[in-house]
Amino acid sequence: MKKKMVMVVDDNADLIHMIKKMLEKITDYTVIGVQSGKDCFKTLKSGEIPDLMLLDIMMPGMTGWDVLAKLRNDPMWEKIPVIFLTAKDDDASVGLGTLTSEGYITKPFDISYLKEIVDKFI
Amino acid sequence: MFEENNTDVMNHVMNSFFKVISTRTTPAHAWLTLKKMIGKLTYNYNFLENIYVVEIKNIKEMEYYNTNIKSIVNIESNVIDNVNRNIIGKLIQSFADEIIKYLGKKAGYHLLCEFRYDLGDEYFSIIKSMGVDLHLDTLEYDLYGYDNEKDLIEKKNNKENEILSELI
Repeated sequence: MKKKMVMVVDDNADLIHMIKKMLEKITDYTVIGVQSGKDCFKTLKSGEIPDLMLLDIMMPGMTGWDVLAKLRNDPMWEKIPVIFLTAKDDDASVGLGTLTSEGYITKPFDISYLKEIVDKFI
Repeated sequence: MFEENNTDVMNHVMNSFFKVISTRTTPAHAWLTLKKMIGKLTYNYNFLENIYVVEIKNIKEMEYYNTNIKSIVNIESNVIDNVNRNIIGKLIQSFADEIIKYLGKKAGYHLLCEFRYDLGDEYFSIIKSMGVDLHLDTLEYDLYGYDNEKDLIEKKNNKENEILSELI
């Protein structure tokens, strides 16, 4: 059976590496990472569609807010569950992010909590 | 107070919500938020199927819509203007309640204050007459407490009295 795939979209390469290492260790998921919104859509267009996306908000160029809006506006990708994974912890961002996505996790985060949320939506 | 039809009121309300949400995230995300909220509330207010959110992908597009179309929503006036005004009021109330539910009291209060400011006095009076309560007074009380203000004034008065008694 094909493994479920998680895509991490974050401009921090170290964080992508850490999530990949940890999640692949404690789950059966394959984790891929991209460092910008632009690369995220490049990967999606190439046919690599994840079963869930972990999305940072504050990224240079296209923000996570815009990535989510673009995903939800395309029938090909609108159903991909998206969890925001971000350092933005003000109430307005958390509230608005929760309203439009499947989940909102603030950094720093606990890997077992991340696993729990990923398991819930994948 | 001047009378406006439901379409005008909804246009103003939706555009104000769009603006205040845009400042906290981005225009594209504000667009998504409005779409999501309309989707959620359509279950209870099926006439919302006649309100379409215009697509906004980025700030450039928002500027284009601000200057050329002037509204984030397209409304089928022939349907919306025939909806009972109190029902429109209940819908706007539901929008405000959802904001508080998701953002919490503090962030919700600030967003609704900005919404009220952006809406302007005339349209604020209109939605008030439609039964909308943005809970601004209650939220202000809950967040900042009038008692604290009273305490501050009392402390200030006591200090002034102390200084006065020393002088005397």
